[in-house]
Amino acid sequence: MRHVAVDIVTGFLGSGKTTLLRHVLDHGLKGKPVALVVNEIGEVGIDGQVVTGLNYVEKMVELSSGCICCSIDEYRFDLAIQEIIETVHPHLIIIESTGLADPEPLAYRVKSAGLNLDAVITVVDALNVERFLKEAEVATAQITAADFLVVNKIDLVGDDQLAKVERRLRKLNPRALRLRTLRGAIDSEVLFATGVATYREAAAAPRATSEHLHRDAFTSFLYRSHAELDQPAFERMLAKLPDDVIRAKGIVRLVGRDWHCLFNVTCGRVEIAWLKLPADRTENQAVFIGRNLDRHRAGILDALQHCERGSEHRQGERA
Amino acid sequence: MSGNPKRPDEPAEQPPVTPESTEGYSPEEEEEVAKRLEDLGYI
Repeated sequence: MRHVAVDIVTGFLGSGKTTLLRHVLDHGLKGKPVALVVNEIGEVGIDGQVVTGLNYVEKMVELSSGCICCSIDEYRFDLAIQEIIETVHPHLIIIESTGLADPEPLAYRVKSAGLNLDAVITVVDALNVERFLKEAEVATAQITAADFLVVNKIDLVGDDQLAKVERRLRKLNPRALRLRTLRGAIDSEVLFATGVATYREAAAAPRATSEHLHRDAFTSFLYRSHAELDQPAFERMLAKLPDDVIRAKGIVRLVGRDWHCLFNVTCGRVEIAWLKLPADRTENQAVFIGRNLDRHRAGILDALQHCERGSEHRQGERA
Repeated sequence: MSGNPKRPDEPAEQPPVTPESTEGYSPEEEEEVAKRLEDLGYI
């Protein structure tokens, strides 16, 4: 039972990755079945080609005497992840990379291990990012690979410098969502895979939406149907989602497929996985999270309806 | 759909995620899968 999502937290040395993780583990992720994997500093080549030396911390302390404490290559990375899954049964694994790691090879490893990559979260030191970008190529790689850019230490820079930093980040990675934080204290559920459930609940019961969901200015809506979807049309729809859609996630049945399709869109990056569930489970369910969704909701739902098998007949009837 | 332009950077080619079948699962295991999907926001 491997169905596990993985979030990668990266960022240059001293950017505040651990501080951010401590905050979210104590707040939004508290009590969730989350495993945290920390990549020890000094164990990763500066070229970032190989991830070695994984250690468990926090909820994984009991495993620290296992083989995963020592340096591991790609093969052992897979074994370590497998051991985590079998021993702790997490729903979400968070991997914190070193400050010198390029997240792309790590993301590739995650996918190669058969896991769902949920998001790459890059913490940016607002005060020092310009210097890091000049001194180390990997700082650029960390920013360009991100789905979410968490701009930290905003109290250490003035408004003008912060605006300059954000312009630079937008130029390097226009796809990523930028979020500002002070000492890693981020009050949003949007970063990690398990937070999506909160927006789903909010979409199902809008009146019960919690205060902090209102504060982060993201809204959500649901799609449900029992019709099978045309796969090419559905994939085109996912690829053309508006930039305002930060996340989209759900389970749908596609025409001609025995397996259910699990899809996950994070800031425009689409991930598809397959899961075979009992045949009587026929409902498509999806949640869309983002900004200005009142502008996009009708268009997205209409596009989904056009993906439904039989929609061509309905269109013909309308004409 | 919105008129927003498609994002400029296409996702890189990635290896496929391992498919998983619940065939042969016990009711408890199927319940665990459903809990995972719920916890991760798929359902």
